[in-house]
Amino acid sequence: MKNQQLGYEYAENFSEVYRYVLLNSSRNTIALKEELDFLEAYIYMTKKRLEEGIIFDLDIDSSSLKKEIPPMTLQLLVENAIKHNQTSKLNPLHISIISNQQREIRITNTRIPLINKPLSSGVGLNNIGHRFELLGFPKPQIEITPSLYTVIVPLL
Amino acid sequence: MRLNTVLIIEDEKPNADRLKRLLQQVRPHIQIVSTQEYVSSTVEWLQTNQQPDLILMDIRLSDGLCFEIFNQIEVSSYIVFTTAYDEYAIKAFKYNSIGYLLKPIKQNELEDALYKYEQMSRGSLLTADAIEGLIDYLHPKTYRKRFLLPYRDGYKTVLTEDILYFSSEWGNTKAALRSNNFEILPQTLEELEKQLDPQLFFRVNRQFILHIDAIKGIFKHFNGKLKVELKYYPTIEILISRDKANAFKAWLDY
Repeated sequence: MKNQQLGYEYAENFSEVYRYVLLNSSRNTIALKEELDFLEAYIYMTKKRLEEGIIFDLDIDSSSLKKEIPPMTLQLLVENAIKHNQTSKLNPLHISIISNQQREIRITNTRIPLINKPLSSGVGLNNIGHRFELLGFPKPQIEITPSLYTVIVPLL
Repeated sequence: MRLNTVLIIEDEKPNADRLKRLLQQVRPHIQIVSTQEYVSSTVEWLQTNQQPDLILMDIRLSDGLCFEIFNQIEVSSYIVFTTAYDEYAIKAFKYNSIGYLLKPIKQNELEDALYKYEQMSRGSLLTADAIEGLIDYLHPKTYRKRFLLPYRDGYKTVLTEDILYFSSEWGNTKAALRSNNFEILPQTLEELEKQLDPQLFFRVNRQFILHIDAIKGIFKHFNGKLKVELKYYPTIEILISRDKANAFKAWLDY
């Protein structure tokens, strides 16, 4: 069978994602390092699905890796960006995940809204905000420009 | 009906490959005429090629939701929707849909959908146009007969048959009566156009809808325009553009 290797890789990444969700979804926070490992498995699957329709750019300072974050925050923001935007090969969706000096991670995506866009319930983003609030931390901030959508997530 | 040609609309290549493989397994004779992954490219393809017997259509495409395709072009093919989500099932019903398959698509479910197509006789699924025509036939459209208007501390009615023309002036809609009186109406001319019997009333320009009996004389004007004079209201001059003039004359000639 063709693409047997791809099948193996995909299954491995899928099980990593699944395991992370099973083990960690009830935790309040998790080390950024672990969230990023999980995110990379998720990104792998996303790239296999969307091919050249999506481009990721990760740049995380190694001093941030021990900081904490509520589990699946970054993954959900990536999923949201894909849900609301076009991922066409001619004009791919760019998502960058970058740490800064203010103990924050900025998740920025280019804005190319879908044609005939489905209504958004806002559940995902509200959920993230509530989790930060319940933990007693400032909520992630959102910056919107005509071409970019950025969520700034504080590290704990 | 015999199923010969299928168009696949699917933006994720592994899914498209899988679908092709399944199709070849269950119906080796089927010709897969094309695979499209965008709303825009699908519209283009359908405009330049003969529409296939059946379209296997993913709902969420790279550049938008597939329903936009139906907004842009008349699709005569039957549709089997394929999607990972179940939230669009109701919406999918509106189109020439004969199936809704959840991913990952199972071979027997695909086969059931194809079998459904093959068991249909030509025209056994009514098109939206046909249904609308049938409804019109069963319920002849009724036109507005009267207007209920506020009057002193109550209401009064004005019969549509007593109105000679409707006009739009400074954003108000005015109805001119045979009795030489005017009434102000809450409706816009656009709304009235849909409510009035097209045999009796005609929208001659942006400002006027005329009753057929209100017309006293028609004169040729510059540039192919027409000038209309009204009974009872000799001071009003109405111009009809060249574009509208033919439709206007056809209305008066039947």
